[in-house]
Amino acid sequence: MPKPMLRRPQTETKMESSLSASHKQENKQQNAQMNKMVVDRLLRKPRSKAYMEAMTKLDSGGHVHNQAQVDKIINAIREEFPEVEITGIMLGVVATCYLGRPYEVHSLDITGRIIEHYQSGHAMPGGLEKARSLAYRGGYEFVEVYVDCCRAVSSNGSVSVIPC
Amino acid sequence: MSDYAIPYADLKGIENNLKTIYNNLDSIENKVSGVGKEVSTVYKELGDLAKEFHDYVARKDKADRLQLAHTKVVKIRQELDNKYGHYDIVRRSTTGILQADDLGIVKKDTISNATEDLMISTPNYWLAPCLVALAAWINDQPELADKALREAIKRNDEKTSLFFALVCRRAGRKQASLKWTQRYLANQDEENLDRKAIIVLDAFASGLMGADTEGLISKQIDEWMDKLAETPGFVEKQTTQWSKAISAKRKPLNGSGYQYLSKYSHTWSALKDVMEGAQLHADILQYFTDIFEQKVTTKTLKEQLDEILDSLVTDFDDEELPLRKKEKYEQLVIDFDGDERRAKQNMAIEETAFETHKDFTQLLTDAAMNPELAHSSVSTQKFAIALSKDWIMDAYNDVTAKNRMKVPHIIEINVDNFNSSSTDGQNEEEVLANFYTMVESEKNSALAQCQLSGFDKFCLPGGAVIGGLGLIMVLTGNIFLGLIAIVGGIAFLSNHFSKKKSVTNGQNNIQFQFGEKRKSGEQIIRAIMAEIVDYRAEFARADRESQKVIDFLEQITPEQYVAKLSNSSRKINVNRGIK
Repeated sequence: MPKPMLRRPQTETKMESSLSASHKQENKQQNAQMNKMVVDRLLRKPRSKAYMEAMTKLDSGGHVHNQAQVDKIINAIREEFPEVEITGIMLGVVATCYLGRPYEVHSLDITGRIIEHYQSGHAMPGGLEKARSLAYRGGYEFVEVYVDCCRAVSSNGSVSVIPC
Repeated sequence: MSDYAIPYADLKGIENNLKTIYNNLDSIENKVSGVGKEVSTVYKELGDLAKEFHDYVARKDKADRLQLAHTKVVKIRQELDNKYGHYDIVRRSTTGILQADDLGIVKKDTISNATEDLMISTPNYWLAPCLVALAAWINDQPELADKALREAIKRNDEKTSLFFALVCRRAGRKQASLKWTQRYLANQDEENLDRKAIIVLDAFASGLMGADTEGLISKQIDEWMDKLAETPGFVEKQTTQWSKAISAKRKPLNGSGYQYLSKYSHTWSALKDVMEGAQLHADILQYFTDIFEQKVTTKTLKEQLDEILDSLVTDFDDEELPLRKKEKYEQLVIDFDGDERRAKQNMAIEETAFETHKDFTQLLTDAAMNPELAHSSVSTQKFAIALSKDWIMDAYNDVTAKNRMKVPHIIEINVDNFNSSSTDGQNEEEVLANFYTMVESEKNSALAQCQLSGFDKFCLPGGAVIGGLGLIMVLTGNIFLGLIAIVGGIAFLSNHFSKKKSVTNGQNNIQFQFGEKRKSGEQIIRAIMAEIVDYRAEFARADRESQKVIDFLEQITPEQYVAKLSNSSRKINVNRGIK
């Protein structure tokens, strides 16, 4: 069973339905579509100042070995989208690396809970590579990578969506 | 001893034979390699020829299609004229009657007679009974006016309502105008709006309606926007809609100025594509600036209303739409010099302008981006852009990001058979070093193949020995055989020196050719590197313009762009910032 994208309150009771199996299936599909629309709308909202600040800490070399700090950034992401179950739809975050050559970009892998810096020619794993060029050349603060798109975040927190 | 002598003699013979075979094989290999080179040259030439042929066919197809489009446009216009040309007199009579009545220089009976004639000559046309009603109204014949109005409403309720809303406003009957507008709006659904609603929007944005009517329209716009914003997926649809409309303003890159990159880089098509995308920013900024810099018209209220009335009676006859759509498509084919693919692309975007019904925001998009097809005025364009600015900004940011994502990180360099790459043109020396190494290796390989064969080498000592033996034989009295041996020796020597000269010439030629290749290749690579640097700089410059578009849109508010009548005290409260 696919994981719901929107978080529901614990107290919510299951709805009884007298619809036939096919109707249930149709309803499920419609609900999934509606969920996606709501999630897309939530994820297009400009990012908060606190979130933007948390993301600037990605480039701090010390965080590579400091798991507590990595978890703190991941928590900042969860707090930014309280209504959305981010695991499973967001793969990670990619941004330009300011460590200098040969480093180009660094990434936060949400699943692996790890920050890594990548040199030119070294591909990023876990579907993050698709955001490399945009993060490196796009002029954005960072790029959030999702399973079906990238969301490029500008310094003022505004969000641009690129399906990919 | 004899046991060793026989195998020694045998081995020498075998060794010589093996050498001969090796030399022959070497010669065959050289020939095969030569044939291989010739075949690859033939392939290349064939490829070039095929490309030229395809280019020619494409050019010919375009030229034929262009000619056909010209013919089709004429035919479509003739058909439009034949089918609907007789409506023209009715249309022109509308403002004619109103202006004649303003001036009071035409007898009322003449107006009545003229409208009755039009009623008879244009059966089923909605405007004819409207004009009869108008004439009856001018002549103070309420019964006839009522009858004619009923018929007009029966024929086309929406157009009749709009027509009399404008006519009543023109006559200064604000309450009647309000009622007709209410009647029109009551039948409208924000998700399936009649395309003529642009007329109401035009009059509203131009500040031509009375305060009450404008209040009604403003309230209606708020309601439509609220309802649409609640519809799931609406905002996303808006963004997609605007993205398409913005992207449609892209222009092809002409005379790029990157002659080396376009010729020697397989990445060029991607580079060209994203440069077109970046240059869109300046074009869009210019487009919006041009709209907002246009001054408000100085025409009188009546003149402006007459223009809108003209538009209502001329541009919105749905039965003409299929032919108008065909006409537009053929016109696009002409505009793009017979390029049907580009005509189809643009038509797909402009198609919504030909839809009889659309949602309110699509109406705004069409009004803003396709004013000619949507029949919207500059005031409406300004208002539509201001009202949609949040969606435009979202869409614009998406279009920009999409283009940035396609920017190639690595640019390929493909000079002849040399392939390399660069990200920003800074690794010129490294690329050149690789190129020199490749050219040197190719040269050495070519020189290795351009050598004297074993036989040719043998001809020098062989010819000398045979000639020497011949000379001895002549001196010892065996003149005939001696002379033959001397001639043979000379032939061997001559062959050797002739081949040696040929090989030396060949080697000099190879040295020269590869020298030239190195020189021209170096020049091309340096030029490509310079162009990569220029390209990255130009792209960055063009791409930065996108911020100016966003800054421009941010300072617009819808309230600013509804023209105000001097005696109007209405308050515009159109909804903004729907998310």
